[in-house]
Amino acid sequence: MKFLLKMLLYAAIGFAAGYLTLELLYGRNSEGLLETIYFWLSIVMIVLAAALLVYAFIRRKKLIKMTKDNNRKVDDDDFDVYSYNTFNVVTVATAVPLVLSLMALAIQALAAESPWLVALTIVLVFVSMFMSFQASALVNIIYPDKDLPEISDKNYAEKLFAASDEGEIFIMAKALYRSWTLTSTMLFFALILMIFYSFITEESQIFSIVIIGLIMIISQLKYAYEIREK
Amino acid sequence: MKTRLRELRARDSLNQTQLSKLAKVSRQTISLIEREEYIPSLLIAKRMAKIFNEPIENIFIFDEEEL
Repeated sequence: MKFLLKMLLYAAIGFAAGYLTLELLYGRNSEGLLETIYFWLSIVMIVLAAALLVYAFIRRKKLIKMTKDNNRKVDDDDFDVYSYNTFNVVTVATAVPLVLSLMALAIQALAAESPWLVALTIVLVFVSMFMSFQASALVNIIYPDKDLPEISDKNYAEKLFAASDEGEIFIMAKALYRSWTLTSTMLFFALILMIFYSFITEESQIFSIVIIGLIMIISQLKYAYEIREK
Repeated sequence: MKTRLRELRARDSLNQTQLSKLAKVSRQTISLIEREEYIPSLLIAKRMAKIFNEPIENIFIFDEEEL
């Protein structure tokens, strides 16, 4: 999974670098070429999203089958490690397609070349949403003894923390802090990239820059608010 | 902090899942403590002491500098 995330990150950086280079070299003349690149990029996203959803479906089905099998010949500890890690994989393999299909939908809808592809991508977005929801519900199947809240619960975060023990909360807090730091850093670099992009291409990205800036400020304020001395 | 949890668990032929049920915690918490990545609360330490019939300081061993 680490490998997959690394690959996606490198692909995003590579695409951004390549795009900026093309703009620098060819400027406005690269319009047609960029449209082709965008089109194929969205196709790759659709294929990747569909493949991940199929993978998540297979892993989820296998996990449920093993969980319900009372005669499985696997050590308790090994099975718990397996189900915990599979749950993580299924969660990622359904969350990533949601983002990929949304990006593909944006490209397809803006290009407005093939209504079939737009329709297919819309279906993919809904399937991703449904499977993402199902992946979250998986935790109640693999840990039936725990009093875990339903994903639709209004106070999901509070109830999840209440149902978790100190070790689990420690793991979650460490992981959330690390991903929050990574997200903040990446948003900062995205902001810089967009500023450069606006200058180089003369295509204003101010709207996106403002949105990202606001997200960074709100996120920082929310964190400071949550950890304040009460 | 060093812990003898793994050794005591082997002595009593318990796997992590069984110990986690006895200690009323998750297997992840047992694994975390055994890997010495987390210092458990007094409540968990007391439960472990009761399960293994050993004083807390025989299960969780601190360096002088840590105390």
